[in-house]
Amino acid sequence: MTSVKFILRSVLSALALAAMVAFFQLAPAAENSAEQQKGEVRIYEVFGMGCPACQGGLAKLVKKVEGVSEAEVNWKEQRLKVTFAEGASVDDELIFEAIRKANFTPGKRLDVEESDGKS
Amino acid sequence: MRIFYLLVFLISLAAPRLNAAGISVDSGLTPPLDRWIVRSQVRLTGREPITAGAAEMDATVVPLVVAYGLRSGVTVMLRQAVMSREMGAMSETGLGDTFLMAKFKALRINTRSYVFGIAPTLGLELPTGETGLSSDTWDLRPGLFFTFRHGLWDEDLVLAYTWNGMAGESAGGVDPGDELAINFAIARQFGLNNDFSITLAPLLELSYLDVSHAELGGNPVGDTGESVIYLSPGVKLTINSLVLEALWQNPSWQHQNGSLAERRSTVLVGARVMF
Repeated sequence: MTSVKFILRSVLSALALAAMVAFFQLAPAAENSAEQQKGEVRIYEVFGMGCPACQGGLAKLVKKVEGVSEAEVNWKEQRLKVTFAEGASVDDELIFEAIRKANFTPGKRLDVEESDGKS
Repeated sequence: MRIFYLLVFLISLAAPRLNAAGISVDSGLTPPLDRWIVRSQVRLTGREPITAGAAEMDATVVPLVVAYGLRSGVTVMLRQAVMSREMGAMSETGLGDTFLMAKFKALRINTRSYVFGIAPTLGLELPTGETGLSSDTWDLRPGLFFTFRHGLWDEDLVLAYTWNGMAGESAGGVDPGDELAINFAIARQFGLNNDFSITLAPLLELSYLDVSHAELGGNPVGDTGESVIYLSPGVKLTINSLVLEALWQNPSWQHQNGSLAERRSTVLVGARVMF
């Protein structure tokens, strides 16, 4: 009986944790909803991502680069789309460095048109 | 008294250990710098006695794992499990041993068409668990993880050796047997939406676990030591940085020394979040 209660408690705890996590995962981040002045958009190739969970780790590091306003990642298309703050001048090497810190490999920088809307 | 401790040790051998761990696809890849991973599972397992009249054992293990990308090539991990076990009239619930591990990036090749990674690990299990749920010894666990990903396919190979009883003493002065675990996993992802931010991956694991017999005064202890092969189908649902996983670890073949109880199937349900 003790074991049954323990299992129930464990399952309920796991479900509660998953629900909490899902809420934070699916709810739009407050910072994204804030109106920001956006500037240049660049698209980069990134190699080494193998699943959707890879996207968040890369986006987190790229957003830490000063002058970056937004970072969107598509692991399947191997693309990173970076939106810079208005007037910001950020060297590509800083973005490449963030990609390397995420254990991925930067490819070439693409023209926005070249990316063919894949990001 | 010595016989009592020996009995406690034999019972503790039946404690569910977390080797031959399930759902290990991606384990050969170190996560990004400053990445937190929190993971929990519920494992329902047990043992079936092979001698008439012996009590079966039911166990529930709930490990909580916290990992952090300390550097881009170094991940540190802490695992603490809560266990509940029933065996005949005996019932125990409490904390198991604490496990610390570091994973290092030895090789990572990222190309347009595939990813290959090798990551050695070094783990240490501390005898912090409650009586009957702890090994009472410091256990060293070196490992070597390989991961190969190409397109939507993932393959993963894990070799892990556990040097049980590296330091400290088990109940009754028994030297627990070392363990070798080999785990191969294959998974295929299917996108559930257009941008593949949600994927469903059926997976199959093949695991081999060999536990050497324990020794007492240089002599083998009866009813200890076993070899098991698991064939484990499972599924993994990934929603951005949230992973929900389930696995059925089925002991397809097993051999136990003496009258050590056989392993039953393990059902594993878990969640992992990264931020």
